[in-house]
Amino acid sequence: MSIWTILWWALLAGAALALWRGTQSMTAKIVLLGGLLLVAIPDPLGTRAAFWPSVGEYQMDVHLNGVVVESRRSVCVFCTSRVRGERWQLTARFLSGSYALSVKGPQPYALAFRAGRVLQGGRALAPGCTTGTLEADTTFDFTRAERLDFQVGPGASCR
Amino acid sequence: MNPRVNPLPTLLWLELRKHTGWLTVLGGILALSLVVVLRVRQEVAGRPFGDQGGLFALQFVLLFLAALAGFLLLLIALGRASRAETWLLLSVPPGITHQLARFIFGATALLVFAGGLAGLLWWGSSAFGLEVGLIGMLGLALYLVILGLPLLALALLGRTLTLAYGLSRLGWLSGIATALGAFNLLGWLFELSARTIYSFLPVWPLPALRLAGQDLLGEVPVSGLPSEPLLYGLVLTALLIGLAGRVWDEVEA
Repeated sequence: MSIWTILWWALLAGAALALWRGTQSMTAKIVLLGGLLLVAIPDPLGTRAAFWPSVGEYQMDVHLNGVVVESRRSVCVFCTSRVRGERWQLTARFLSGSYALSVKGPQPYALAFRAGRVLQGGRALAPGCTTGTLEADTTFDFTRAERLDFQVGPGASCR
Repeated sequence: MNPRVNPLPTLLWLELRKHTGWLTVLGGILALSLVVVLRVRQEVAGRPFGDQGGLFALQFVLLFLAALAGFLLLLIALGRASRAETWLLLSVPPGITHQLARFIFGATALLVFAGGLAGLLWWGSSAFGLEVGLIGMLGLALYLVILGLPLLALALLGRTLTLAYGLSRLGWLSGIATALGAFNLLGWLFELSARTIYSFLPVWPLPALRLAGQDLLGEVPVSGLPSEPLLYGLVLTALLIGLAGRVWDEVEA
């Protein structure tokens, strides 16, 4: 602990003591002590510093037992693409983009979204849950698809 | 006389009387913005299409600065508000009523001001051939106003805390602590908003934006602005006003 850290904490403690003794109002004491605590401990759980670097991570192309996913010019808000067991799952709060899926053999899939436009090989899907089996290579086009959950592989479901 | 008469209208009227000067300055800013828009409309009229970008940017920047200046003025007005003239009232109302009167006054002034500026921006944009939805534009102004409400409440709370330290002459220290704490609190609010945007509330629609029949927002990946920050902001505002009312009660009683 450097000398500056000790000085900073001493300064905060002195300010807290002065503010605690300076008024009769209990609410004012508590509010200002809370404010000083916010200043003193900006990241109590150690999770804030890790959040911002994690926003940008996004895996684009996937190769998974017989499924190849290629994405083109995809723009999204909070999307994750991950492999769960033998399933590939794509979730996003907002997604615009195009995904080309190549399959070797039939693969079950489930696609749920709340609003927006989703084209499956040029055919528009209704908002809600769509399940089926991918027999051949298919392209999925998303335009402002909201709250998307897209799963391909054994056991795919909308939950 | 009836002692249970509602003191809020009287307090609001008092706020209006006290803040006439500030309101005049806000009206002056709106009038200057109107002059800017009128002059830009005159300049644009004879120019070729490719030559208008600079003028549009100038108008946009000036209106943005007007909005910023008006908001800061309102923050200062609420942050400098003195004690209310309670001798005009029949009974002593609770502190929350005083704080609510100040807050409602500030929020209404901000709403009218922002609405006026949004209308001016809409009118000014039409000179460039931009077709902007007026309702959507006013909705955008309302969105920004709601985002600004926690700051108004923070100014109110900070002022009340400073008054609570009047006897010990530590108002400067409470001011610094409030400012630093508010900075960190808004950081938390921002991060909470960033983590949960678009997750559980419907979106706040963007205004339609067309140039020569072409949709300028066609490539935007989202269909609106996230509403979650508004919810957090409103909850925080209610909390801050409640705290300010409690401090008022404890100090003035």
